[in-house]
Amino acid sequence: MSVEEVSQKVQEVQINDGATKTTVLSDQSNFEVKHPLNTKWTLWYTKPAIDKSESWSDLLRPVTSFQTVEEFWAIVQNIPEPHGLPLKSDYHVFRNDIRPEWEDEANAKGGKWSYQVRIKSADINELWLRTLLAVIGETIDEDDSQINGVVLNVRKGGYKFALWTKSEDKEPLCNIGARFKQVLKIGDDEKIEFFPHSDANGKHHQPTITL
Amino acid sequence: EESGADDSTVGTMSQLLERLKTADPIEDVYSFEYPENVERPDPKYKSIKRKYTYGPTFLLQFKDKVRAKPDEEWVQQSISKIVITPAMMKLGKPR
Repeated sequence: MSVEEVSQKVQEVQINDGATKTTVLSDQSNFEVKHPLNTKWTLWYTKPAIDKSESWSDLLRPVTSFQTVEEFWAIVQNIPEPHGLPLKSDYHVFRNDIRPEWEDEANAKGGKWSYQVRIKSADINELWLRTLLAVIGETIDEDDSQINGVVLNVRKGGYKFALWTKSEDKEPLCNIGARFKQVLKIGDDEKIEFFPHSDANGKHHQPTITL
Repeated sequence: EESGADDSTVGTMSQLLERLKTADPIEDVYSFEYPENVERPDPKYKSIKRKYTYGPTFLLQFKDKVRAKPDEEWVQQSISKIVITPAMMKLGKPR
């Protein structure tokens, strides 16, 4: 190796040593790397019906999509928090282009874990953020990605949270359900319920799992 | 140049999205060398089948680091669809 070659090598090593790239955590405007999510997620909003002529499809709209941690936070900080949403509105955050409807192929064989927050003092904004972080960070899901999306309904009786899954398989769903209870800070004395979508039209819509 | 958290240095949403287009995706968040003041991702959330997993504590660190002002273009394309009118808010609050 010639002297030049050696010094070239040394330089390369030095460059590589200092090659830790900046993230948004150290430099907001000049970051070089981003934190991807495993899939794209889409935020949907259901507008409350003002007159009866408005159909579900007029009311339900995709708002925006994100596929990085960075985009997620920028969006979350620019949209109304749950506390600022009107009655009869919903937020939905779903994987890729899955529609937040049980008729969507991806949802057809699944169901939802459902919980209505009854405690008055509950900080709904915090619970919703905790749920979103667990869903997009994928720490509430199983390895085979059971979760299709998450829904928040604002209703007179309270705020309803639901985690939509792709299957009705009891074992993975029970793992997810247990973690969902932790995320929502639900005590042992309270229950969450799993409803399969296949029965969504049934007269006696009963939960198939209670946890 | 330092970019603080004060509003004068915060860019727009469209600028942020542009910047993200050219940023490289992190390969492995669990081995990435973050500066010392950053709390590293907790390896207990590592998954064999899923490449990107992030614990809540790690994610929360981004909250004050990613701020962007909504600009007209972005508002038109996205959050203008979150329609909330004063009449809707008069319907009251959940119990």
